[in-house]
Amino acid sequence: MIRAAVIGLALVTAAVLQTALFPHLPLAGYRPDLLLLVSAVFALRDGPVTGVAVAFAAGLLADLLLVQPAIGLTAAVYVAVAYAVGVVRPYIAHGSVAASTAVAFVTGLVATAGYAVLSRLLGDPRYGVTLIVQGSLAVALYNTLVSPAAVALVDRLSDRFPPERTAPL
Amino acid sequence: MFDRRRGRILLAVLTLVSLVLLTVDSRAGRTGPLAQVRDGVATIFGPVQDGVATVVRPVGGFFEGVGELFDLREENARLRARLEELEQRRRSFEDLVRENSNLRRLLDTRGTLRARDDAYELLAAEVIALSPSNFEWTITIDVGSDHGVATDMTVMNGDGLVGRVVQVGPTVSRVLLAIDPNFAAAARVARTGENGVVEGADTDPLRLSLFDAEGEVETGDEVVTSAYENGTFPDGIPVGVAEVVAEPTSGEAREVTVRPYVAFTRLDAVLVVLRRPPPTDLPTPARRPASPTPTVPSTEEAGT
Repeated sequence: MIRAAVIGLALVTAAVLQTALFPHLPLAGYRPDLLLLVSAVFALRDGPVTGVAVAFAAGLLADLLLVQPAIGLTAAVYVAVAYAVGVVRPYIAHGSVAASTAVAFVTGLVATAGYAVLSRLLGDPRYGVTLIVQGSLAVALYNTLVSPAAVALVDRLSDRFPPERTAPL
Repeated sequence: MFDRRRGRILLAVLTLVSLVLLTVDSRAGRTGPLAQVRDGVATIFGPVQDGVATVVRPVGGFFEGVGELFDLREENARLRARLEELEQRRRSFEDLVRENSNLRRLLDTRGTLRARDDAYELLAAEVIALSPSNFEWTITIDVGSDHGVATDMTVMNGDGLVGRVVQVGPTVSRVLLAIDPNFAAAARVARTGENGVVEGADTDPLRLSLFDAEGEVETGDEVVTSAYENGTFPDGIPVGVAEVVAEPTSGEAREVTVRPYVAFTRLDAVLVVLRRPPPTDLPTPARRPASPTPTVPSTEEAGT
């Protein structure tokens, strides 16, 4: 219960930073997707169950902070990405900086592109090929840059408030 | 193995829940129960974002300043040019005020018409957050229904049109910026009075579609909002300058690329138009009736 509250607090902090701080620090006009990053790092550290649950909460929070897209879209994308990270986790070296960096980049790329493509399929005309490629790459790069901080935060939280059961590596 | 099976089940359940939410929210629109949850979240997050924004604004300003250090010389030259341009505009504005005053006297209108600015009721607001998504151009401002703000109110700043209020909580509101592709507003070319619809195009310049495919417009013409058919926006708010003008066609509309006056990535303080002057029945000399019959987009987001 305490762990859930702490993870919730981490997500709220990520959301506030994403909306109030990082708009002032854009990279090529884009901001990092901190909520996605935190979800991916949880999935990498604690497995698919924790990853999917955190991703759903993070996606839902992101959806509620948006105005236009229907609620549930971001949540669905985050959940799928976190599950994929959780599934490949046994094949990734635990604690490896390279692994967490690669996960941050790939999840940023896939989730942003996936979100944009789904939005386009749902009838939002703004997502052209250029925007999707540009946006996905920028978010992937920015997430990679801030991933050491996210990994350190999640490591600390999970060490202090460990899950009831961690999947074997 | 057990963890992976649990993960699969959880994935299926949460994906299903997401899809159900997606369907419910899409069908219910702005009035559904999930929209109220959104309002609630905005209200809860507002004070936190406000506090963080107050703290981080100088930090963000510092980094922006460092980034711009190398462009200072160019910026200086640009600002000097802008100053001259504004000086000229001020002079022409004074000329317009004088002309307007003369015309009103000539038309013998109802004695005491207030100056246009006095008739607007404006509410100053501070930008406390931006959208968490890289693909949605919205801002959160620190005023809401408690301050008299309502959906569809116009938001502007000293440079011109900023956007339109799309979500209102008691103490915070969300504003759809004019550069968002879902934004649309009735607009006209200030010089010729040609009417059309200006739309956002993400980070690209705005797009103005003139109703008249052969409508008169040139590069450098100013584009302002139009209260055409009692539209959402007050009349005459500067939007931007015509940058690229497509050749006249025999089609339905003439496309114009408009460079906005407002720097949307650096919004800090804005004004919400709480009340605007009642529509006047005076003829507007610069405007001409649009031809052929205009068709304003009827999408939910089109604020015309």
